[in-house]
Amino acid sequence: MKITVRTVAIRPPAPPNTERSIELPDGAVVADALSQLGLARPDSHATLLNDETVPAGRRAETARKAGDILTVFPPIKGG
Amino acid sequence: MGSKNLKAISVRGTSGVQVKDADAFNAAVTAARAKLDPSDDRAGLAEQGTISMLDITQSFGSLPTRNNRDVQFEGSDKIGAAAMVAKRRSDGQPNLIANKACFSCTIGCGRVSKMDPSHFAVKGNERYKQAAGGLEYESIYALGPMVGVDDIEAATYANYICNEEGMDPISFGSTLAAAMELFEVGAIDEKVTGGLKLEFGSAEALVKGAELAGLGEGFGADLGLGAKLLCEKYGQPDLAMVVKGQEFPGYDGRSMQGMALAYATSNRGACHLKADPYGDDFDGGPIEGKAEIVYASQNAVAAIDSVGICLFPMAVWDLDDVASQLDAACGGGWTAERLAETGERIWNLERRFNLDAGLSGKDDTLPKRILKEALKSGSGKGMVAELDKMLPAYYEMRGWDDDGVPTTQTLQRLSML
Repeated sequence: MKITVRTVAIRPPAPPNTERSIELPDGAVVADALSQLGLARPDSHATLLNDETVPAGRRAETARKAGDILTVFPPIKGG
Repeated sequence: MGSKNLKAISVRGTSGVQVKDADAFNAAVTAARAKLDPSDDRAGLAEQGTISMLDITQSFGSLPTRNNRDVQFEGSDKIGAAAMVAKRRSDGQPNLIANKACFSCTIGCGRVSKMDPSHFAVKGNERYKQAAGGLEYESIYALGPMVGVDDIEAATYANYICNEEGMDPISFGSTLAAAMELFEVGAIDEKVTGGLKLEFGSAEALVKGAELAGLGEGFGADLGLGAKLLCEKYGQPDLAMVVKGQEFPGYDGRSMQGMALAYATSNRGACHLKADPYGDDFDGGPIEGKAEIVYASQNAVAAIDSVGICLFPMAVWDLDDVASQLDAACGGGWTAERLAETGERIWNLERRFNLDAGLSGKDDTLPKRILKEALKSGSGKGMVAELDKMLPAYYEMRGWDDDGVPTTQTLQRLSML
């Protein structure tokens, strides 16, 4: 299945604000999608699945479906 | 300071700064820098600045827009980190020309900008065509989405004026947003504003409003009141997005519930730097856990602020890293635990000051909009700030009574009696 991944304010090598389509096997979970992004510390990033937060502790059990939009960003602090 | 007509206090020392144990201090600083310097967090702040937060709050749905009526701004692409480095069509130059660092800092999150010389705000005015301090997240939030303006050059100019006149861009922008809503609902009109059309989205109103507020002339004197007094003056107190009279920074407490509690309980009014609920809020942490996160981080921040260092290294440091540097510099047996306890004492001391000055637990609240009007979009869609659930747990954790007053036992525990 194909899903859309949006990376926001991510440092290189991933471009900061991009939207890309990735292919996942049936039954894939949020953690599987995150692992495809090449992030050094995926657990330290925050995720939204179709605008709903997916806490780090639930990514291994949160299933995906075709057409989902996953947003990934670092939990930076304000300034 | 304002009531005393005092703009700044300047101090100049001539005899140098001594530390208790120079070798231990250098070792502690070197060890702390070894954690900070190679980190992604440091590099991200240096490369993108704090303005990259705008892309996050826009995605998350916590970007206060048009006086917190919305939390996502349709013009965010024109004013975010990417827009700041994009070459302008008019002169082929970007808004951002460099970053800058405070003394001895390895982060360098500060921005230096140069405006479009053909922009209406600076036409014929050479003074503002020079390099000057650029937009941070909080300033672009307040001078952009909060007032509905998607003109990064106008926001840069308003930020220049705020810096020159000693106005906080958060407070100015949020106050202007309140004025725009007053204008929209008919509580004020062009007779009151001196002909200024205070419409959301108007870059002209932003530019002129900043100039007038800086001078204290015309409607600028009203803007100088701040959102609370301005909205009270014109009979619409609920339109002021403030806590304890201080305007909101760039996070909406309906999708960031920990921030809602942090705003409501901050001793100096709504503030994004007196607690650290960011990670848990962005991770969708449960309401039940917010009180402890806010309580512990308020104590830590109070101690860190008192040490005199910036909060940004705390993205990778913990209180042990601060304690080791402080202890080498000053002595006194500083540990992470002692810092946290000291922070708790500071927090309670500030609280007692506020209580003595006439504030009470009733001031630990949020504007009606944040408590009653559900969000229309984003991750918090349908939500309001659940302060009624978080505040009692917070008071209990602090050892305060139901009215938010520190109990005798709490003050004894902290050696404050």
